[in-house]
Amino acid sequence: MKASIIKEALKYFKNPVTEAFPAAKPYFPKKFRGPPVYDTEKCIGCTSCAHVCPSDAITVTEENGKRTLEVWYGKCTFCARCEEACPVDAIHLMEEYGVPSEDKYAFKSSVTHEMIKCKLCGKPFITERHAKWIAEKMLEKMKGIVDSEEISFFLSICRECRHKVENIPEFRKFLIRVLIKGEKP
Amino acid sequence: MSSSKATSKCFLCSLAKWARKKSVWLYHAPAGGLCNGCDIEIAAAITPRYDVERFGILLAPSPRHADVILIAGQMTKHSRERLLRVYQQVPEPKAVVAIGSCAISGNVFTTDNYPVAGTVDQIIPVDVYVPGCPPKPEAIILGVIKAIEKLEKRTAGT
Repeated sequence: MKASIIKEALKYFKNPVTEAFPAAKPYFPKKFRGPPVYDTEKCIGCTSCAHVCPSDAITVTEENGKRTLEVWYGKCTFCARCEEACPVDAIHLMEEYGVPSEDKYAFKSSVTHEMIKCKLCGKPFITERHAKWIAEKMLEKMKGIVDSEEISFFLSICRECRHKVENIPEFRKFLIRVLIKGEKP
Repeated sequence: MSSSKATSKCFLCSLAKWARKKSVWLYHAPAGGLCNGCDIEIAAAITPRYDVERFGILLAPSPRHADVILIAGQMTKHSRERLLRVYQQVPEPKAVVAIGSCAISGNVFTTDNYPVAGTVDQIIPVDVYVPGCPPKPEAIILGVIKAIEKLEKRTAGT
């Protein structure tokens, strides 16, 4: 412990302590937490990052059947909880520092997704990529129990409508027959 | 606008502009609610590691000697009046730099918390925003450089 401190102190007899900042590259320590940025190809738009964000820096807006996730670095705590929570590793903290600006809304990272509309009420409720990801994961884990038809049925009807349907078993069976198997009533 | 055009033409005005150039002195004003993380980074930016004194940037003991105010932290109800007084004491021309997420938007403290009196830019005009929680000393130095550019424009205008 003491030897390492003396070593560190002796180092400054050779070179000056001051970093030649504008000329030399800035030093980033291990596990440095910079501004988070989205990987637009990997992101599925599940909004789990927005759910865990302690300062509400990540906002979700749904407009015209599109979902937009946006990180505003002006409100971010750089805590890396979004990176921890992301199921597909689509958000990462950069090894960079925020560049100062005259506009406080200049520092942002965002991603936009297409959404699927509910078959019954017509309201957009889930992103296309998210539905695909859920279907893949469910098939992987419950291959013998459910088939892909039933999963696609569940992923094409929004949560509110699904609750209504599930309360009436006859109606549910009827819907499965009509909507998925294509039988005429 | 017309005055800035005149300065580029007239020789005496450009001479005055050159003569008015000076080292920028900073005043560090913590605005109430903060964790001192940004204060420590400001201290790192002005001490030997990043030594901004080689550019003539110096920490002033009083706002009356300063040109640029560095504001860190979320503004509270108690610090609101003091911050306003600090801003009024700085002689013209002056520039304000908001440092850290708290000064920009409130961060985790939000703006509807009971001891909080809104963000800093609701009572004093902020020129440069430096994001980060806390920002790196490099970012603070770059922010001060941006503020200096604004200051030079203002000196030319008067």
